[in-house]
Amino acid sequence: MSQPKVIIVSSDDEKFPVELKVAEKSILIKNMVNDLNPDGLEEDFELPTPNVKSTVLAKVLEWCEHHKDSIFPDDDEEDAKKSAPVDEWDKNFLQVDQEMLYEIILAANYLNIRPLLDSGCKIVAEMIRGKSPEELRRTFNIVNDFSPEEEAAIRRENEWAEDR
Amino acid sequence: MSNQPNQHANQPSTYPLQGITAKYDFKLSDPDSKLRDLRASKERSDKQTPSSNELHAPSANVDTVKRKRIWTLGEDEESTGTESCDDMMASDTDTNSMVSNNGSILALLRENRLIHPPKRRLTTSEAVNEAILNSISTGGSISTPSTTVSTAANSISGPASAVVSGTANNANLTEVVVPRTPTAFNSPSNTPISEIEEDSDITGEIVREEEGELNQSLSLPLPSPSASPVSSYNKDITPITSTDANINTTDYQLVPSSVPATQAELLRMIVGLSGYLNEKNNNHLIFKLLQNVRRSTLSSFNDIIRQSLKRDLISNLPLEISYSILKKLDYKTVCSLSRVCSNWNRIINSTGIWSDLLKRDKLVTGDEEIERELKYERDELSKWSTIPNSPNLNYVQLLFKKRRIILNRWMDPKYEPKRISVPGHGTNGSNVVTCLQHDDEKIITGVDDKLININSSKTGKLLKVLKGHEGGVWALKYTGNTLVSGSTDRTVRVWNIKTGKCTQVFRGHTSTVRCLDILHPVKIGTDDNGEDIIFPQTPLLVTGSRDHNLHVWRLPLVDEDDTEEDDGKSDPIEVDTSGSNANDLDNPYLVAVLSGHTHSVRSVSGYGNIIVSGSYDTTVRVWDLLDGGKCKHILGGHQNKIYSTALDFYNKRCYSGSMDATINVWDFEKGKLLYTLEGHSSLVGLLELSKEYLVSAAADATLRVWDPETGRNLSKLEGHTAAITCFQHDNLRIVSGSEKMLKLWDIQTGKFVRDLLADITGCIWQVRFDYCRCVAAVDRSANDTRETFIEIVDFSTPPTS
Repeated sequence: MSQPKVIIVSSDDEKFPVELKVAEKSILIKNMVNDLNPDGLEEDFELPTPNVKSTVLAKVLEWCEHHKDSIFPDDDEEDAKKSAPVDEWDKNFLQVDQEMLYEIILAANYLNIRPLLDSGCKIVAEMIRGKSPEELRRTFNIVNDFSPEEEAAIRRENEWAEDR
Repeated sequence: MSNQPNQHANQPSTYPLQGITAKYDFKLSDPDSKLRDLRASKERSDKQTPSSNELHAPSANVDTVKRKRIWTLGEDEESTGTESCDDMMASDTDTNSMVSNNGSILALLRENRLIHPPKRRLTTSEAVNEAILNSISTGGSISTPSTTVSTAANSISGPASAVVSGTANNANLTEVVVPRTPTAFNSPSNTPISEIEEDSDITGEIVREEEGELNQSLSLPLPSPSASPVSSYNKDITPITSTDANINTTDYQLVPSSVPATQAELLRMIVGLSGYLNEKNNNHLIFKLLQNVRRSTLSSFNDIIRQSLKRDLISNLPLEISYSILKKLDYKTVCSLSRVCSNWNRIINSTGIWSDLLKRDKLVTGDEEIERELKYERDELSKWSTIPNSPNLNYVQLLFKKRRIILNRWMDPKYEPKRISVPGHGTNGSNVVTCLQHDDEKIITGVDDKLININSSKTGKLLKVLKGHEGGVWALKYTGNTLVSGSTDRTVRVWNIKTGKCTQVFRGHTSTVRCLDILHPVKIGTDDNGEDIIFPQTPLLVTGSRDHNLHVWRLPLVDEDDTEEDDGKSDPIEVDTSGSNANDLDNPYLVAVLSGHTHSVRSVSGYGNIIVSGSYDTTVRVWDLLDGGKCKHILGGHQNKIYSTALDFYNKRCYSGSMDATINVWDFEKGKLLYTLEGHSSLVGLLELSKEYLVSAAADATLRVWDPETGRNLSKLEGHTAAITCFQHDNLRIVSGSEKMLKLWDIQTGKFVRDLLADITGCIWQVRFDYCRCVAAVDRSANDTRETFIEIVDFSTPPTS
């Protein structure tokens, strides 16, 4: 008999059967599976994720599948994690439009997949890094709502940090 | 849609999406569901319960209400639809077959029994209508008679059309035909003649009420009331036509209705029709259409879509996620982010981001330092703002600004720090400054002329001279208001820094006291109940002597409030040494005598219950105070005298620097030699350990930076021309002194940054620094006379705003 699977059901009722190992990349799912199957998984187990819709869940599970054998450093190794560059595969994987990136980050947060959340945050940070305020407004479709005086005051206060 | 087109090697498909299967939120869903169910659910979600009830009432007036609502509903599709339609149509003309292959909308409509039995006679333009629709569906796949097709068209044109009133329907149609010209309503050419009179009041009403909206409105047609006879949520509605729900007849006919005669009309109709679809199927429809789009046009769509999917991630994401994004950015970027918009500015104003940056940039040692600064230094910090009187100052951000600007000044060779030079320890020639410790208030130096001087850190002014030792002072350290010193006179003295008074003299050593350390109470472990084990209970002093022994003393802390001395005098105060315990040979403070070394003890380091001592006898000894001060290990391995030691209590390691030019790394728990660090070519006289770095300084005029964990050599600092006499490091920099030179290095890169004192003509005896100033004891020589100076290099001048 094949291994029982975890069937993750998206908010729009798509069913995603995955290996337990893949599903467990989500600490939320891992805990739910363990809590509801204290004796281990004996048959396919259906689990709804009402906050994640199918398109996003598919992406997230693609990540989980790729990383099913990856070992990530513990959360308390903060420094190593912060300074480490984004995993190359993750970087490619997260080359998506901003809406999808947003949804993936939210899903990773909700499903408690720390390494994916971390990669997502790093990608956003890279989108921000080194850009001028005007470039940032263009990048994120933001309207400058400062009065010229306000902007000048903020600029003066931060002028010391600008490259001269 | 994130699907990648099917790639055929070297030959990309003209219609990249054709090979793609619809899935997720754009796949065909519930193909058999009744359109009215969708309507029902839409109604429910609209929360317009009164009007949704009325919707089903067979009254013309209600119809208007209904249609008005529907128009509003359809606005979105309408506005986006018209913009891109031309493009779609233009590139689509030769690919109509795709539509029918995948099931035409009309077929879908028919399946869903949207098509009603004939209620009205057909208009003359029916044929045109039919032809157009047929051309879309490519005839082949839809084999139903043309009337059926037109019937579908009827259902497009609005709820009223089927049942209530042809004129109302007609008005609706008119909008379709001439959408942007409300006046066209009354154009005879567009108004079917029949039945106009009898329904003109309704038409008029529609015109009046909806004129404003007509411009953009094809009514998003919902199923006619007659098509929704009995729905579960609204049982009291009596259907007008009871036969609709179970139509068996195949005799569908076109209701007189709109006749799309132009591209624009047709487009409006199609867009309007799509409103019948549930969300997924609407997506599916768009997908079907996209499948017939050429690569280049997909690319245009792609561009527009990407642009429109941009969103303000920082503002939209949950705040804690935004913070963790911002915490990955450097300070320059974060500073510029505050100018993006007021919301970003607010988010960036969080103290968490700045305290994280302070720690990340190693500008503070930890949260305690930040808290201390915020508690005592607010006025000082506001000097660093360009708007110091603002009520909304973020002091953590200002602390960062201050610390970072000061660091940047250190690292900028062009920046000229404030310099204070004061003569120290008299002008009578060659005194050796043997030790120096300082803080924000004071600089304390010990000299081989028996004196201890206290100078002001801010002005350099000599505040006090502590007299009492009868020989040169060779070791000195203070904590709080308590200063301890060791001398060639074999005594250890305890001083009240504030009053300058000697409070105790510890006798016992039989030769020069050469080194000392203070052990503070710290957590050394956890007991069986999970309680912290603190050791020692009160601070201890350990002293190492040329008499081969170490003594451990309870350190008598001097109360800060003990200020019986008059501090008002500006002259240095001579301190009376005859304290009550001053000559007490049987010292009650003595805790232990650590004997075993066979030569001078040159260096000592202590923490918790562990003391390590380095001796001229070439051994390092490890002593355990929990075991009565027993010698735990004798670490042998060096070939020559040991001059320096360092201790990492929690990693169970200690380090020793020797005249044999090596540094040994030991496991003091197991008594094992871990590594021997080689590279220096002569005496390693000085060692300093921090969490990240072990730094060694040698008589070979170099310093080396090591990874204390692996023993790997990180960098070699070359530039001095004589033996290194003194140095200090933190997580950012190293300051090192030798004959005539005081150099600053970047510890992370190992690169030379600048000379801090370029005009020194003699030796640099001692140097210490903190984040804002560097303090050195130096010799200046001129015409064969040497003079000792205290040099203060201060980087902390607030900016002049």
